[in-house]
Amino acid sequence: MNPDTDFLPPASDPEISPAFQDEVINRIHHFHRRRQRMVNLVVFCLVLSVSFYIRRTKNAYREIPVKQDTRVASAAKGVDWLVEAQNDDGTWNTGNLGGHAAFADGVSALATLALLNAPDPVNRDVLEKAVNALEQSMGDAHRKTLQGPEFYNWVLSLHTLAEVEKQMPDPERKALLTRSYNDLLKRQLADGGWGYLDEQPMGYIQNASSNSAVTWWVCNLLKNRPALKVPGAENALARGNQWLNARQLSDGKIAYQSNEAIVADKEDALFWMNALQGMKPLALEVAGQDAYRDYFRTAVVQADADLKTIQKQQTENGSWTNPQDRWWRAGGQVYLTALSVLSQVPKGV
Amino acid sequence: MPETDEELMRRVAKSHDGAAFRELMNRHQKILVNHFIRRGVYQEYEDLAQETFFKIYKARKRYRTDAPFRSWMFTIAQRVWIDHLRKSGRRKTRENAYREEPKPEFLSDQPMQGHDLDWALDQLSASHRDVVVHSVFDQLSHAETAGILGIPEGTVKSRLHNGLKQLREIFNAENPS
Repeated sequence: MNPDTDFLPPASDPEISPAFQDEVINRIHHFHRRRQRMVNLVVFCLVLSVSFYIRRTKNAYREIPVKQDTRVASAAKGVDWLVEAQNDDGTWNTGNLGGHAAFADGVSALATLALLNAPDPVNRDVLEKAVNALEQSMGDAHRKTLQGPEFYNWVLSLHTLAEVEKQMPDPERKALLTRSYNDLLKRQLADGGWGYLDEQPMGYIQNASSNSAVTWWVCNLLKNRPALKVPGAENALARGNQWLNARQLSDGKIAYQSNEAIVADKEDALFWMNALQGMKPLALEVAGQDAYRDYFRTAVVQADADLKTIQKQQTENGSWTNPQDRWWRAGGQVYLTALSVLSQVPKGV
Repeated sequence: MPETDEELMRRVAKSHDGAAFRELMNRHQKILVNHFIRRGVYQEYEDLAQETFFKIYKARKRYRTDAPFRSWMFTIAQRVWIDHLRKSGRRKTRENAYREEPKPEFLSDQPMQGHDLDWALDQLSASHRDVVVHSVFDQLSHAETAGILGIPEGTVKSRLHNGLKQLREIFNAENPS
């Protein structure tokens, strides 16, 4: 006994609850279960974060499309304007809408193509009127020559009517298209390409040799032709593609003619066929300066930035107006509106 | 020969030995319960003792095998006590705890000479009571008490001396002979 503390009375000694130890043990078990849940949660979050990071990293290299609704709304508004601007005979004017009258048939073909691909089907009368007008212009189109505007008009009409035939087969149209395709094959040059066959008063071409612009249009027509009997089409297409592929330069651009000194720097639209034909990719350029280029480009990749630029140029009435566009003076408002609509409802070119 | 506390704790730390942990609780549960009662906890003393054992288990990996288990246990009990004071906000009013918190029956029924021991301890200041409880009732050395309370050993000695002196006066006043 400690003499310093022996004056203290005895301390109380309480009974301890029989469940004292069990409660501690239960708490320990609960602690373990909770810790295991936390570990599981952390692992789950970690896996989720890693997978999210991987997806995000992957998506960083992928173009994010503009919302479908925005594209559809913009295209539908453009189609409404085209329907309003259509003439009673089914054609469209170009001369009084910023373009040149010489390209009216080709631009009408583009507008018809836009109606054909409208997000909401257009009135059948409107479409039939446009198709009839195109067939009319193609009726006597076994051209002796394929001059600049004439070639443009003819090839665009053929392209559109081929699309119409796929959707609405018609025996008379089929016969017209068969004649036209056979005519195309006859015009293939010895080197495998196609070109303007006569000298032009407008100064488009100075000699009758293959060039990449014409060759690509014809190859595209042959590639996407409807079910027609066109003997030799596959062989002609292979030779045409071979000629085109041989035109690509080391920097990815395409030479305009066999003579590679003339580089197709004014034929930007052709660049975007590269991805389609498995050629070297080219650096992206700013949209909104060349509706053709944008059309081909959006056919290859639906780039968010491109679509936004296109949509920004749409006017209140639904049409597109851009005098800075490379082909504005040739095609004008109808050309720009038709191609801008088509850029937003992309089809294979 | 029974295992020492330290050997049992080593088994708990090494292999989560439930039987060893139960044996440790068997040996020390009363000591801890009494410790908290002496410090003025008259209702939740079992909860605090359980909390101390739970924290001992959680901290088992940090147990230094060369340290005395008893001293380590009271170090953890001291943290539990501080947490309890923080939670209940009793730090400021602990001097009045006796009046605020009714005593359980086992305390009031004890046949005591004069006032009971816990009432007497309540009359001490918190700092004196802490030292008296650790040194006298928990039977820790001055060095261990100093380590647990985080004060110099000399302070422990002086507070113990003063605390016991006050207690002696209380009991002498109650039982004049």
